[in-house]
Amino acid sequence: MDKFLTLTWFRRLVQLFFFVIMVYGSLFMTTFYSQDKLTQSLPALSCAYDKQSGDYCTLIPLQHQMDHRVSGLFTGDLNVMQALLPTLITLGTFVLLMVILNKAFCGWVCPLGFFQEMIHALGDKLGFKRFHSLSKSALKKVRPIKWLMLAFLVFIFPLLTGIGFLGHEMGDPFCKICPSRILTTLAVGDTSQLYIDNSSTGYMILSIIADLLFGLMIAMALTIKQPFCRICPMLALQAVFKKVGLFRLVKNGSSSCEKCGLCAKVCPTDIFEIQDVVHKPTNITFADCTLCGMCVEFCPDDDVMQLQYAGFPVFKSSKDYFKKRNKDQRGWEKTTWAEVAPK
Amino acid sequence: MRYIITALLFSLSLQAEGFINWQPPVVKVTTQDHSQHSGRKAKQLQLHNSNPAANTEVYYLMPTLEKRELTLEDGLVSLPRTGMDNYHALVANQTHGSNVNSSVRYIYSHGRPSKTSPTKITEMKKSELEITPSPLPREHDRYTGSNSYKFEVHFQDKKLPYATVTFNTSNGSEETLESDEGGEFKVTMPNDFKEVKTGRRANRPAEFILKTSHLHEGVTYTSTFSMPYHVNPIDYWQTQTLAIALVILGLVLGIYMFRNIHKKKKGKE
Repeated sequence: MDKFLTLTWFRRLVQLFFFVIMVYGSLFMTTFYSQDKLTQSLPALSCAYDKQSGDYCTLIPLQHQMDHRVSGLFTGDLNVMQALLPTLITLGTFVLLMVILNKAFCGWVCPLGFFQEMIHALGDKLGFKRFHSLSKSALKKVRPIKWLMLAFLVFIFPLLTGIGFLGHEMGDPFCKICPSRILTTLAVGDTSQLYIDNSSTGYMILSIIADLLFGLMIAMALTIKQPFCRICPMLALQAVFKKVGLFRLVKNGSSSCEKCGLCAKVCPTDIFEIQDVVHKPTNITFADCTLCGMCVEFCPDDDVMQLQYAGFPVFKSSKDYFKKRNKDQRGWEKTTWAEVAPK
Repeated sequence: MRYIITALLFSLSLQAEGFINWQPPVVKVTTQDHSQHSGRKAKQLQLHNSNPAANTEVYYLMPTLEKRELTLEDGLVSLPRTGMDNYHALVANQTHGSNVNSSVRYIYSHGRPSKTSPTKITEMKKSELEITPSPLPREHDRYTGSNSYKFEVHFQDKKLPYATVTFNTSNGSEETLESDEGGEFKVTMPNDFKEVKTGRRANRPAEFILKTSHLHEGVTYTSTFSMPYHVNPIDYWQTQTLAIALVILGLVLGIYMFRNIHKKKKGKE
């Protein structure tokens, strides 16, 4: 029982709770209609195509607003207020939510993030050899992808579609390739989002990318931590507003950080920079951070790593906790189904 | 031309049965709506089988549940622009002697947020006898062929069990249904479209109508519910078997990549 009293187990429970709300929430939290969803600007990939969802991700209204509203500024159909007000309301709601939970929406709320973590745990148990971290050169190539996805798939392509430069299929291109659309609809027994669309070359290419990406994400999640999160435009959009959040990852200086590096090793998005030595308490909520707290759990020094809310520490690193957590982790990694299965 | 003939035949068949019902005008009649932005055409709907001698009430129920009285002109009604997003209900109630007839149709309009759940507009009593969608297709969704939808029959604000409901489409499909003990019934929209073209925007929707009647204390109540329904892409230009194959290919590709990287790593070590 004692081994369940860890931050990771607590986070798993929170993730499961939010998975149920985000995927099936309309059954008990809201009603069926989009109008009734909790915020309609959630900083997590809760999909609007899932008709039973309790809320939906901010990326869908943003793409529609670029396509149908902001484009009106360029075509001359709308005045500035009509064109920009919906986007400002969406971003305003998003920022308000970011103030409350900051990037923890990724690590604690996102249904796709939880799904990838579960697949990774399954990979562990099936005996797949895990990649502890990507190389720095690989990270250099991977990290900009999320910014490109945000710029082109969420803002530029939908805007060009609204102006008339691109076909209708580019009105919401990120949703068309997003694995959460397939995952969450399948989770409610709706298979309508798993398709190859033959109606035009553009639709066909996007649907092929979506299906391949979904399969690839599952396969990679068996061995690599959070493969889709690393290129997710939501992570990038959150990074823009991370400074307003009350929930933060803070590091106090320590002399042993350079030699240790455990925090960077356990980080699900391989932020090697968290290992860097700091000399005073510093907010180290990096662009790729999901505020999962793994680095705090695995820091062997007292009080060096902290999760803080509005300046107050809510979880701090400690020697005793580290010993316990490390022992549990070793036990988890040793046990695979192949070892415990009856022969 | 084929569309107009089919629509004409569909409306004639409904007229013969004596149920009032909302349908798009057979020949698309559009007038200038001078009350709003000049130059834009007001959407019109036609109340079929309306009895000119009967006492008729027609109103538009806004998403905010406000009522706007409308007037019928030659059986046609021009829908006002409300500037509001979400479902609106077009309601006709007609009383003539011992016959009480009603028809409801929901129309989705775009505009500023209504801040009211569509659940409220469907739940609200609009006539003595009413067929209620449970629920209406959500925003970004619509009635499509091969999919099933749930409805309820209500009489004087209570669910009506074992009511006979007839279902017709403008493409010629017909079915007789019955509500269960809870007053609910399910309809599977038929895939009865002919000469389907590739792409969502290339195909016109067809019309379906649900009709029911109920005799109570010597008064005959009738009610209809009509809406458009669309071609289901999965039946025509979307393939699911290939999609599953691609997901599996993605899985295999992912595992292959992982094994390759591991081999390279081992080689280096």
